[in-house]
Amino acid sequence: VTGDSGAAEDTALAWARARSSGPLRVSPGTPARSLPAGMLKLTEPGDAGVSWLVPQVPTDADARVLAEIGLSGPLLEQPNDTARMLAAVLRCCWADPLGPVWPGVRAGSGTVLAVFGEVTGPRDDAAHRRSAVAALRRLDQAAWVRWDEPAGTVRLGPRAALWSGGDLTMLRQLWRSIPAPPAAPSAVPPVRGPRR
Amino acid sequence: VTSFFDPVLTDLPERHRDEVLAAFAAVENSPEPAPEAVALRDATLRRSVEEMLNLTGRTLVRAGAGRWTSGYGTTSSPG
Repeated sequence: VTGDSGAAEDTALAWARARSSGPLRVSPGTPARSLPAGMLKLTEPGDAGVSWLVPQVPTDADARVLAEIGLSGPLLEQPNDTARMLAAVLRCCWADPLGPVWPGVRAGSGTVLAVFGEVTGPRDDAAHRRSAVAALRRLDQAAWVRWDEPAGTVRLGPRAALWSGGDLTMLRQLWRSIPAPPAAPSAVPPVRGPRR
Repeated sequence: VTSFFDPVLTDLPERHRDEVLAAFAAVENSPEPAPEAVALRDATLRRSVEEMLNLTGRTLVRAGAGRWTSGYGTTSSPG
């Protein structure tokens, strides 16, 4: 509601929160009229009832434009492993690359780690787990990925829902180039499982 | 395409709209202040960038000669 300074303040506050800590978690029952302006509400399917509010910036006005205008983007820690882990999660959780990418499906973290291992190439076990766990934490914190550590499951985060049609075309090609997850997830030890 | 920023964007010619969007991306996402290239040199286009920022509670900040960034500040509320 333009002209209403209270609503404008609520909107500013919500955008500031999303700016500092990423997508905002809200109750799925939140009525549409009380949502901050310019934000998209995404509800995860099933069980726990989790909804997210993500700011909707035109794709021509977000960080991906920086390279085109010759400016550097935000710094990312361990960019290679982080990108490979996101690719592994995408491969495991986007069950049908002809369908929408979000919400996708839940995958076991063991399955995701196996694909991550295929993408990164041979490393010793400890180094593999260390880099995988670090990458999952970074991606989970930034809401690219949701990692349920106690349950040992991974799914794509609310940010993935904002990929544009052009992004998805590129990601579909990437998806096809990544090795498929192992057929029997139980054959792969879970991240926190006992050593055999 | 989002309706949220439409009040600022709809009246702009396409070429100007692209420049305003790029300038918004630059000041909002670049770790360094953005150079005055893009839409920031032209006072009218810069005003549109500022209006986009104001909608989200932010404001345009001059960061030295010919360089701009965005931040929080005292600004007239939109509308």
